[in-house]
Amino acid sequence: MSEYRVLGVIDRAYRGAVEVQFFDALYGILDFRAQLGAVALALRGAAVTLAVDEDIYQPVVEFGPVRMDTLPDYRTSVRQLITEGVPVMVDEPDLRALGFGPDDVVPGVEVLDTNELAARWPEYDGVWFV
Amino acid sequence: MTVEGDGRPVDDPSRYLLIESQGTWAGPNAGRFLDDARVLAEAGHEVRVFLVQDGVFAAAPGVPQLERLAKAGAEVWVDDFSAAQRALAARSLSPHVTVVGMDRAAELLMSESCRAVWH
Amino acid sequence: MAGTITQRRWDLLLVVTAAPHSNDVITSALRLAQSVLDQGRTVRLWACGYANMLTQTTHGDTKLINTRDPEGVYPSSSRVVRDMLAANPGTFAWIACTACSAERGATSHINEVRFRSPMRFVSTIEGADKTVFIGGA
Repeated sequence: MSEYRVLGVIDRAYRGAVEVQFFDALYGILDFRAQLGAVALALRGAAVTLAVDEDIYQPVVEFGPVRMDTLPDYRTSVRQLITEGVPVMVDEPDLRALGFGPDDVVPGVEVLDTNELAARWPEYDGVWFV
Repeated sequence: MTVEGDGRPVDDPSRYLLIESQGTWAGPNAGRFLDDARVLAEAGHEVRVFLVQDGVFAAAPGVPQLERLAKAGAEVWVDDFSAAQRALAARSLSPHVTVVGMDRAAELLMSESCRAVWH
Repeated sequence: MAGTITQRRWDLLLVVTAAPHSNDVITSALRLAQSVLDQGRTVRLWACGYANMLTQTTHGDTKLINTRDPEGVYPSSSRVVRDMLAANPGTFAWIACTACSAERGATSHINEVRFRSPMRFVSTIEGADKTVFIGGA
């Protein structure tokens, strides 16, 4: 395994449910994790809602007789990242702007100002805006 | 020796080239990235921001992030090709920016210890 | 006595994940690559996502006919990439991600492109002195 350390930042989300399905940005982080020395994820902008804990959205859509139940399940992916030990951070100002607070996110997600996180960029070999 | 905002020296200041390709007109994400640059500069790191593509629209006069970047000691470069393509003449841009060619960005990128982050 | 294999190193790896036709990102990536090549350095470009459409054989050498200029010659993206590779033998290389290519049905690459599985992504990064990750997939 490499010692390469990456901070992934996602500020654009919801890039296609039907065509993307499992192959979304969070899958990429889960998949590359094994190759990297360390990976952390920061969510900003509209992507903060990927970490909002809710149980209303069902990743299913129907087009007449065509039923798809393999749409991206973002909160499950965030929970999986947490379970696998990947630090997930979400931007507090952007959460607040959308009416959410620290109590609204998936347990284990850290809420902070991701601008202040920039002071820690030197800890990473790569900072990737995905 | 560079210093942090509270006067303590940064042990090992890094050199950063931050490339902003999105426009402040497209939403708040570009502005947040420019604020990342400010935080890095305020932490004592050597920061240059290279505005390319729609990122050059942030070089319009009066964009608040640019003044804060300049105050924090960061340099802001504007890609000459992108600016010309968007009819943005050097005289119409913020006084806090310098118009450069891609060769300058490439030279800095490949310099020792320089790290690049592309937004 | 067992020998050792020395992997060559590259000066710059550009990882391009954004889609063509979305904005000027491909133009910028190629301009940056050329500027680094002009310094006498080596550049490798790893195409992710829809950047893999750039090097499809189905483009042919030219774009579709410009109805306003039917005699004009407009090179296709695959032709531009092929010409850049030919102009920089040994110093410029193009890698297509096999997973992204398959995901997008873009598996008919020009012969000059090399293929790599995403399983080799980090080792490819480590084979370069510098990496610039261009997101936007």
